[in-house]
Amino acid sequence: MSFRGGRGGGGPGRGGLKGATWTQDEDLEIIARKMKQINKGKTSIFPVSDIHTQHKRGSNNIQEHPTGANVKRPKPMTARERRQVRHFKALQELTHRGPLYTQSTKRNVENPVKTFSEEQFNMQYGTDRKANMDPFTEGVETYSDRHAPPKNVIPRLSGRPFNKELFPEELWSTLEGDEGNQGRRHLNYAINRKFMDPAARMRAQRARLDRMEANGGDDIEGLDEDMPEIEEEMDDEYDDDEMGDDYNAEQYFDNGDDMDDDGDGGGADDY
Amino acid sequence: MSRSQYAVELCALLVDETYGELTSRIFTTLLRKGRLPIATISKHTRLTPRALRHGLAVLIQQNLVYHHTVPKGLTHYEANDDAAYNLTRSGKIMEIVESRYGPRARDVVQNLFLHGHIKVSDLADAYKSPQQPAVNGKANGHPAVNGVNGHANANVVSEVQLDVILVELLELGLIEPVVERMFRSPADTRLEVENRILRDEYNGEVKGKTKELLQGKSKEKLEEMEAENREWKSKVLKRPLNGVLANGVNGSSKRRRLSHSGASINGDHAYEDDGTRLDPNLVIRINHEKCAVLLRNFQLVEAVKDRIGETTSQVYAELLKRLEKKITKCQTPKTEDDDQDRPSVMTKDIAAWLPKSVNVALGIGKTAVDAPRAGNIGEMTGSPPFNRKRKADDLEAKADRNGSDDEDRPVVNGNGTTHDEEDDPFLDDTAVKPTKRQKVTFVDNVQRPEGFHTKDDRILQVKDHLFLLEHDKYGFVTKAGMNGHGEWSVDFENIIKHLREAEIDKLVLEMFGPTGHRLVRMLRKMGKLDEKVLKDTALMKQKDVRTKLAELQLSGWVDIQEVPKDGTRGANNARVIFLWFFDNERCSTLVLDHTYKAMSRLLERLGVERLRAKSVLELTQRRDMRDKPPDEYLTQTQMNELNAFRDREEMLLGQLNRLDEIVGIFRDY
Repeated sequence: MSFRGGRGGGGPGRGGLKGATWTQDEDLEIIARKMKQINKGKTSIFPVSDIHTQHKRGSNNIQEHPTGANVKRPKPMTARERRQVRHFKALQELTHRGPLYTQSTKRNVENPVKTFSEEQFNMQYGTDRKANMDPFTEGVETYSDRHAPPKNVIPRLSGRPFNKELFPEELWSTLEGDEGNQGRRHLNYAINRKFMDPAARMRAQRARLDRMEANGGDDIEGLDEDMPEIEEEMDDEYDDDEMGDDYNAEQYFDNGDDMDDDGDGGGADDY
Repeated sequence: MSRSQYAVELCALLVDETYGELTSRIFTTLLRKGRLPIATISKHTRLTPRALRHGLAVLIQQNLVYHHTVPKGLTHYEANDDAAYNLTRSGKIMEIVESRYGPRARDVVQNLFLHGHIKVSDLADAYKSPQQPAVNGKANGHPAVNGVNGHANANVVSEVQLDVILVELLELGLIEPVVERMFRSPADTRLEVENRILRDEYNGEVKGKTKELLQGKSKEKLEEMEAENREWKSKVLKRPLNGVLANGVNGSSKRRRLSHSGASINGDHAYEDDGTRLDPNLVIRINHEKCAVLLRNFQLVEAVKDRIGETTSQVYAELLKRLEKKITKCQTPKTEDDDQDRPSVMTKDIAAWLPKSVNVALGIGKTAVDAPRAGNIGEMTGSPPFNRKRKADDLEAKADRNGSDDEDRPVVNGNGTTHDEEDDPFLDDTAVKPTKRQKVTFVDNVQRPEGFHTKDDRILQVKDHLFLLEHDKYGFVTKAGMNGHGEWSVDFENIIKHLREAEIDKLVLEMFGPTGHRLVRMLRKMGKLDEKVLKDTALMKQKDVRTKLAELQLSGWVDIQEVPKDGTRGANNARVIFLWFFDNERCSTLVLDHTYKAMSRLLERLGVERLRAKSVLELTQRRDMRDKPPDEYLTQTQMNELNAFRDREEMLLGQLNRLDEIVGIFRDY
């Protein structure tokens, strides 16, 4: 129904859609009354369709479902089918344990919200688990959490053999883990810089600016989608410059994890 | 190409189930929006380019996404929904491989599934060093807890064995060498080929007539490319020595032993070193098209088992097995010389390859025509034990027989007389035997123990089975020649058409009862019908017919066509004929769509069940626990909960596999 055919359209003034009125349907009422009489007030929620009862009355292997629904049990599985399922499950489990699987980042798995637009749909993902945890049920980390299976936010591609020539060129750096190295380099730089003397720091900064210019030039020529990343990078640096990051308590806990995740994802690291 | 809503949903769920959320989100976006570059995907998904690139790398690795880079530099990605659907079949494929080549081969295939595509050398490395993260997932860094390892170690495969297994699988076509073309969408490939031809031969101009020529040429070229890919042997093998390859194609002793040693079903083969080495740089992957051929064979055998009987189905299975090597994929584009090209197999070969454990004397029926004949043989050959045996078998076989064969049986025997020189098992049994034996004895058929029946009997009985198959309504085999006691080919397209009809019939009967079924069958047989005619033919009251037809129409199984007698088409024009019709094609899409929906619901249900059993599942997934048997550390209540969940999971996945068979029948086969 179109929007106009809704409540407004049904009103007497508009004329709107034919048949979309909100007056009561007398026929329906009559049917309902009749049904009530027949069933003496009791109506099952899932009435048994009479086609099936007609058709299958002869066979007595149909069990009545507790709710009265017309549910037939599938025939038991053959040995072959069981084997198929077993293999499927084994493979699935291996994949899930493997580095390519990414766990869900959905906000609430238990009560999914209905989404209407792409934006809303995207909103439900990509949440930080720690920021969104429920402190009453799962909040407190326990010792045994260290045994929890690792959660991948992005697939860990390091250490896997890839045949680069089969991938598009723009993914090559990802496959090689260069992307991760970028982050690592950056971290190293930040750490080193803390212990540098001011003169060296100036020199390094100048060199860095030069390099960034060169990089930026490349990027403008080449791939647009790299831009957000560079921005991110710059943001981080900015933070570092501002306050050395010593008092950021959240960073103290969180960054460690992030570092691991990142390293896993890209760099050919072996910790 | 438009896909239905449910197909998209199912593919998204399958990718999510296998490779997780990130990949699934990217894949769904690609599926819904068509081909996109990274920047646009990022806009639609709000994922960072870094995450996107990682996700895409996984998807490409598993061939779930095609990519295409134009010379200018922008790369587009496109979802490969067939590959996504094929994720459901992994269990089935592994089962087939295991039943044929043993658990080791299954393990290799499993690794191939895990990796998507992989170099032979990398696969070998994965086996050589069990600590390698590539195979064992999260095993690195936690050597104490690497249970995946334990799994792999159970079937340690040496490099030589690996090569032998791979060669075997390659030869059958279950795995295929990967070429770059596979990562490009078929449309892109075609376009490229066309452009190349255009450039090279027509100097970049197309006019009316050349366009058709161009199309023909590009098609040829594409087929050529495909065929080239199949010719893997020349490029790949380092030293094609005595082993599988030298005489592997037809009649090699090795292949023969493998394919009909009964032990192969349970035990491992002794994979001996026969000097075959694969090129370590070869990149391989699972060939789903070929796998579909095997699955189709299984489906057909099941159909035969239902319609004719157990023994006949075994004969048929053997026949299909002979053929499968020559069939690369299920749906081949139709050509004019289709009938000539169809691969065929000889009766004597089937008889020779059939495992000894199959008693072919069972399940060949004869009733009315048989009585005088049996007397005949008794007079002529004086071999009563033979006859008695056959009669006993008939009684036994009668159980698994349905009505349609009874009609066929006289035809079988009647037909036999036309080829009397080789058929007619009874009359000239003794007379022909000596000569025939010499004719049929062939190469390395040496130490076969002579069973209850002689070899000739066996051949003839096999032939009887084949006649049964030929004269079934479905036409499971068609006669292709006279050599070697008759050559047989299989017209798959026709059989699958019958199977589809049968499947639709089953569904209609289930949903609309016998009357609805009757109407549908009538409409199918007689074409478009007026309501009145329908009423008379079906011997039903008009009211009943109308209700039933309306019911059928509402759910889309039948439909009405209006044929006006004159130009005016008013609402209450009596001069309009309404014709009801039933269309198999339409119903096929309907069934497919319903099946996709059911499958995606099953997967969603599985998710819900997982959520419900979360507390127990989390325990079993703990890194320190996951490789121990759960009854060691779970309490009784938890165990019960776990078992209940596993039962449900098995049921849901089993149902998924069953529905997949329907999809196979209606789409792939």
